[in-house]
Amino acid sequence: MLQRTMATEAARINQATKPISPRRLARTNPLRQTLIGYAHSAGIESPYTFFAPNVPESLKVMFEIQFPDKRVSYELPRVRSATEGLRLSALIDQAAAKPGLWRELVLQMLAAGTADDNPNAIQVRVIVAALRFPRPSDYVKGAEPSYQFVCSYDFVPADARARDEAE
Amino acid sequence: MIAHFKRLWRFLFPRQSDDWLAFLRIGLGLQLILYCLSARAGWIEVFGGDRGLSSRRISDALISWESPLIPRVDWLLRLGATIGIQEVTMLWMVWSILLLSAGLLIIGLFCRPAAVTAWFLHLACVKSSEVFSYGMDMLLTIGLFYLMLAPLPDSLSLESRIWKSHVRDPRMIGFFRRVLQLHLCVIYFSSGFAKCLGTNWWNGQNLWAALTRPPFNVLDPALIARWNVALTPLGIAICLIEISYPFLIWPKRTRLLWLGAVLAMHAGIGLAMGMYLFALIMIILNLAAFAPDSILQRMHGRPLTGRGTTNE
Repeated sequence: MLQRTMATEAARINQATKPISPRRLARTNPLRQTLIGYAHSAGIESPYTFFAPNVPESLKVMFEIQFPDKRVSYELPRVRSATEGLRLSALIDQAAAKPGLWRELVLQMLAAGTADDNPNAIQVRVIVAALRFPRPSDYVKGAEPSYQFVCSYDFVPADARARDEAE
Repeated sequence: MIAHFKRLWRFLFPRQSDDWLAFLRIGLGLQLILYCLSARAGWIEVFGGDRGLSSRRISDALISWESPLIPRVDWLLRLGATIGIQEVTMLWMVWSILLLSAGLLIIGLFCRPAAVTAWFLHLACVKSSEVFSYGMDMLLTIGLFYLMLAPLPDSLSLESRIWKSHVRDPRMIGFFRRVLQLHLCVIYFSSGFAKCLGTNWWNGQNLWAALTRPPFNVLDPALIARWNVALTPLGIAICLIEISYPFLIWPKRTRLLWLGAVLAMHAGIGLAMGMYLFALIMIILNLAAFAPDSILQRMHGRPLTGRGTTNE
């Protein structure tokens, strides 16, 4: 009941403060640009909701790379340090969880990096899956984590496209 | 009315020593060095624009859509191009100057220019890699923003010792600490409030999910599962520590206890989830904002003075 009251109050405050948000002004408005510029410069542009209200599901990305000789290889995104792993995880969480243009753009960006490392590739398929981890009590009994398919996108690398057009 | 105004004035402008500022300067310098070292391997790949669908170009497009006034690495690259510096060279210059600024902050030489440079370059880098950014970047931006505006140099800096610069107004020093304190209260309250809305923080499920999801799965899940009885109380404790922070960090009787609880929470997050840089920046900000001068002076290795300070 307390949670419901808190959520209702939060939604009410959010609704009440919307009219004073600079984002309601035209994009070219100097006041909007200054206020948003200041917010970014001071680090106050986004809410402080770390792992809240709930921890998002864990998403994994895998690349299926196809070559002209019908060969197929599989790769994971390259991560060279723990910090890079955190950054990549943050990116996949915020982009891959929501369908739409932004998700496609981010996955295309990741695929482009893989295509650069495999210049002969004719297609890169990006597969996104959600990690389902069993509950602690089930895990102790031997239940294993599993993956559930979320989405996949096929991208043709720019080099492969150029080769096709030349032919 | 006048009495209220005076109380507000005394709250906002308390007399403070600059020990907290010295701690913030050194801590943020150290944090920046670790940021530079951790980003070094992928520096050109993240900020270079000539490979694939560059993340910098996507971030720059997103950020310039937000506001054209937000600093970006692209500004520096264009500046470099006008004087004939190649992109890769310019990117390494940015990295080196950021590292140099961090070093200057730690030793306390040219504090103000170093703080402004560090803030600007770090912000430009973070915004140009916005798609890859996470909480630590935002909190480091907050810290550097306040450091840049605060009354530098502090009395512990090398600069003050060499040029014998005058003592800053203790009320202005107190004002900047107060702003940092209030900001931390907002951060913890928002974070705690949002967590309290999630049902899975009250039954331990969220803590289990956080500790087992890659790349935070530093601990063996079998070990955590064996101790699963502790997950529910720990999850509730995190919610309560965060949401009650703005209320229990101010009273003298609970300050040390709450500061200790928050520091332990961040140390735990750092060690159990591998979020070392995030933990470090939160510990630095909390100690700078709320640690008593006696603790800070001991950390700086100088005799306890209690020079005209208040810690309320």
